[in-house]
Amino acid sequence: MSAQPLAATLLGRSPRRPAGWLRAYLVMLRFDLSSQRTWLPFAVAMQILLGAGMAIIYGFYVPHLPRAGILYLVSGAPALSLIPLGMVIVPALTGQQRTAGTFDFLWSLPVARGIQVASTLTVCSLIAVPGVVATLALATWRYGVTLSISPAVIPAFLLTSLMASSVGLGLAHLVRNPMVVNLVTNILIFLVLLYSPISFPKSQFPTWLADVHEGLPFYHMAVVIRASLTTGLATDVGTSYLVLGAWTLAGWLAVGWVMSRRR
Amino acid sequence: MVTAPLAEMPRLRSGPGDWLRAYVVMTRWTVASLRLFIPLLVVIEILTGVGFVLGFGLFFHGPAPSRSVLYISTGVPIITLYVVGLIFLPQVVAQERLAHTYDYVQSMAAPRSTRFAAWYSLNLVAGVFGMIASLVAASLRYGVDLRVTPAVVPATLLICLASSALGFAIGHAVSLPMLTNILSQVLNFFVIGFSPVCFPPDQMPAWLVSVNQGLPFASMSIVMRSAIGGVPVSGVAGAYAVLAAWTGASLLVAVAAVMRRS
Repeated sequence: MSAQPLAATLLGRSPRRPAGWLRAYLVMLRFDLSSQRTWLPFAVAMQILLGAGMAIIYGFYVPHLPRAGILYLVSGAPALSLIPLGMVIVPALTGQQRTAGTFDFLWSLPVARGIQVASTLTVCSLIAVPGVVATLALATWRYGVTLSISPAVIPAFLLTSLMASSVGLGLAHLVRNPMVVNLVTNILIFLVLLYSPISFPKSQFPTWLADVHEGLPFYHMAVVIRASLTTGLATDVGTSYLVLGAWTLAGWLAVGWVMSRRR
Repeated sequence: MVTAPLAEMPRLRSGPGDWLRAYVVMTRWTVASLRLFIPLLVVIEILTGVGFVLGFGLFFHGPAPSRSVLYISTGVPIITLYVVGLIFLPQVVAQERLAHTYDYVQSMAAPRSTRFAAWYSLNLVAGVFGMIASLVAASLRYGVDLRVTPAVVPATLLICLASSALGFAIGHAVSLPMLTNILSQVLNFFVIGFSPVCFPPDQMPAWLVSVNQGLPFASMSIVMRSAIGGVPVSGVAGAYAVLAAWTGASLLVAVAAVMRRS
């Protein structure tokens, strides 16, 4: 077995015209949407449970929050709803495909693997929309706050959603054992919900933990989303975009590396 | 053909002595079959016990109010006591159904009640380990002044029994493995987020408090707080009664499910 060049793996062996790629991408998109429609309600429910649910639960634990604290809580909810979709459901689906034996079948389809990855990521971004909208609606209704939504909401949500799905996909490809993936994602959710400065300011965290989060994507997801929904709460947004871009790229590289090593 | 005299026929195994022997064997079998998961159980208990105690503290700007500290310190031990019986073990049964070993385990020549007893024992050992870890973490992190009274023994035993019985009932009565998994995860989420276990009931809406009055988790909180909280707690007898009722009802459901012939 010899590793084939990454570009050949992702784009197909023979150089195709962009029109060919686009057609393959659209066909793959249809295939993915129809084959994954069964778990769509489950994904939306999980997003609402962890997004809006956690925003409400945090309020039970810490009553009498000041207005800024409430805005922090509400604007952190979309990040909490995107993380489980990208980093739990995407790896779980891949794990399920491995267990059921359809993982290899999908790779054997006559479509360049890069296009398959692009299709999966697109589907995840589309699926994220209803969950995120419902989460924001529920959280703003519960706390009675008004958000000041700016046009930055589009790049913010696109990048955060893409990053979460890319990292999830990378994890699912790097770790072959579905049980291990399951364990990792469960621990991840635990750490995200309790130990990440998403719904609470970083200043409440010990310095070392706040420093760790400078390198991890979770805090930065909350920053770019918060910057697009509120004014004056989020700072240093440019750095957060860069960090998220780097994590997205890392996810893609991981997937590409695993794919190029395959037979 | 020579038939054995009646006196030499194997005797029917019954009575407390045989039950106890079967229980010991079943406990050994349960631990042995879960041996690969034992490190995972330890991780779950430590993450739950210590992780929640430390994590909840990060929600507050500055030091957490003493009332919140009391609820966190007495509430997290409850999570450690139920997590194995209510969350982990139903998923083990669901896994048995998926792997088609469920009927094999049910067909073992031991009373099925020993399986529950073995399950409860495992839950108790793991839970008490996590509970101690959480109490140590709480006293180190918050310097909380807990007063452990002898009532901690019945409180721990009953909380663990009620959650084991409920988990046993879910594991055996719900025949769809996927549903079992979802149910146990949602229950966990409900207890941590929507039950007055780790925060006072007046911090949640009144209707949710009413919903919780019929459920066992608020009662677990009352029983545990009265046993180790060092503060006067009202409604303790009622809470014990609610837990006993849930234990009885869960065991009835479990018996019906276990005895059902497919």
